[in-house]
Amino acid sequence: MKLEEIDLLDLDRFVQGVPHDWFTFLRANAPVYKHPEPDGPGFWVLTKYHDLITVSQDFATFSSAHGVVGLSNSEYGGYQTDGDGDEHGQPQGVTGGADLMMLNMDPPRHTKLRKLVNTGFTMARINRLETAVRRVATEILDSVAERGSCDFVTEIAAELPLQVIAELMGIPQEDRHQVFDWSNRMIGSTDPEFQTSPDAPMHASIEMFKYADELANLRRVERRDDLVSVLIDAEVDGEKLTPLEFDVFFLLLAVAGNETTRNLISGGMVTFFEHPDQWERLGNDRSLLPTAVEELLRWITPVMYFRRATTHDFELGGQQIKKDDKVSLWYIAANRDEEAFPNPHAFDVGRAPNMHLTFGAGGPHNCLGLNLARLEIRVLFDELLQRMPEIKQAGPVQRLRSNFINGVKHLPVSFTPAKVLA
Amino acid sequence: MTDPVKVANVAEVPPGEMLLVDVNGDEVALANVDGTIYAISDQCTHMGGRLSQGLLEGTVVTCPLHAGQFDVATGAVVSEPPDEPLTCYRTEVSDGGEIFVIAR
Repeated sequence: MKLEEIDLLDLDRFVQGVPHDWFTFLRANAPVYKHPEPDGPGFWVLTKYHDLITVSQDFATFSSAHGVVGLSNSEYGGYQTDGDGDEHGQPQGVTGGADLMMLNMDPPRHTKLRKLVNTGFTMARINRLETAVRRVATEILDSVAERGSCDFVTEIAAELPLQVIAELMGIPQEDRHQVFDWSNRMIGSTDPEFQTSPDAPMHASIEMFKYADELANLRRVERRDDLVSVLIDAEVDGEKLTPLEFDVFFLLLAVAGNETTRNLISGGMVTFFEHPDQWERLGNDRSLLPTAVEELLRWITPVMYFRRATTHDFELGGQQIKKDDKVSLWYIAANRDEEAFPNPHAFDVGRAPNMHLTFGAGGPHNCLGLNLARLEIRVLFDELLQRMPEIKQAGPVQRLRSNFINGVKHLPVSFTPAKVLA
Repeated sequence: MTDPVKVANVAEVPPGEMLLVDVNGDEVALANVDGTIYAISDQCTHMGGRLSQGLLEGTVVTCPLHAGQFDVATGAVVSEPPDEPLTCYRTEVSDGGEIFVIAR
């Protein structure tokens, strides 16, 4: 392989599968690599485990304030910021309000927003949701059980995170699929199935903002035990969130709470179809579920990269990174780093230790929903192993056209039909 | 030594729970152990996992990232992978239940 063959902007390559051969080459030959970019200055590609940790923890040098999604200047990475958001907090086209999102912030402002919602996602709180999550998972499997076949992505993998995050946020049942559709259109903006027009992501975010405002108005009249009510009353430095700040918070929770776990579960099912011995091993010993969940997280890495921008010149791995350079952190590559994981290309549901970087490599932006994600994944596969152990792939996998999300759009499956007791 | 910083009210951090607060820009986790409020650096010394999202059992907090454990009263490592202790902060609670942290 030659370095020039690697093109991380070639989205069609990702439709075929994650280009692990490229990442293996990069880790070995160019771990800190300046990737070219048509009509732009290029971007750094980091693929080594310890480099990701260095960069993630040094948020003063590697800032999130200029957006964390999108590699090239021309690329449409979905909901992103170009770094010159309107100081008055007004929407500016597709980037409107992105600079108000905590994903795109550094401390101390990031800390002030993070702590508003942090409490809702502590391990103690999330563990108390297990019964509820299991009930939702059971209902989802009930809804397809008698048919003996379904689209695993849309009917199973997508439903659980959608129902759970919507419940936590306080989105009424009848509105949940609409929110899900908007979230698809934003995150899947480089895939023709979801990007029906160039403006689709912008329209979707505007629609979601309008919806968030309506829900906020309902909660102002009557508070509930949900995150929307928390955010309405939340104060930062003695001031309530502005309507736009509220909207982008809503959008972040809805999208991050849906897309990531859904793609982990879908990708997990595909992975088990590719490794039937591991499915059988797990079915025979469900006490392996916790390590299996961590291995699925390492293996799939639904968010393949996030980006930073340098605030000053910095030397890394013998390379001179200049101020204002774009630096992309490829979690999906670091999670197969030969120096961090023995036999990294083996999928092993018993792997331990397994210190993958799927939830982040340290620093302030570690995943807010990690406890919730683990719970949902563990419960769903636990229920599947008990109720549909013989589940089979019944058609081709259709992957998302994206270099950002490792996603599966459709996965036909079949299983033994079962009567559901009412 | 700087002045104590008011960060929260005890009602916001019930026994057995933790709360992320900021103390002059430092990310600090409060932990309520049977009514006693402890304050530690929020980031695990191993890889920066947020301890405020971890599990508090007695005085031991488990990091949500890799299950490293610390004693919130002393900052000492209870269980690997971390090998460096946590920064601890002194706390005071007023009669009205306001929690103050002494910034370092």
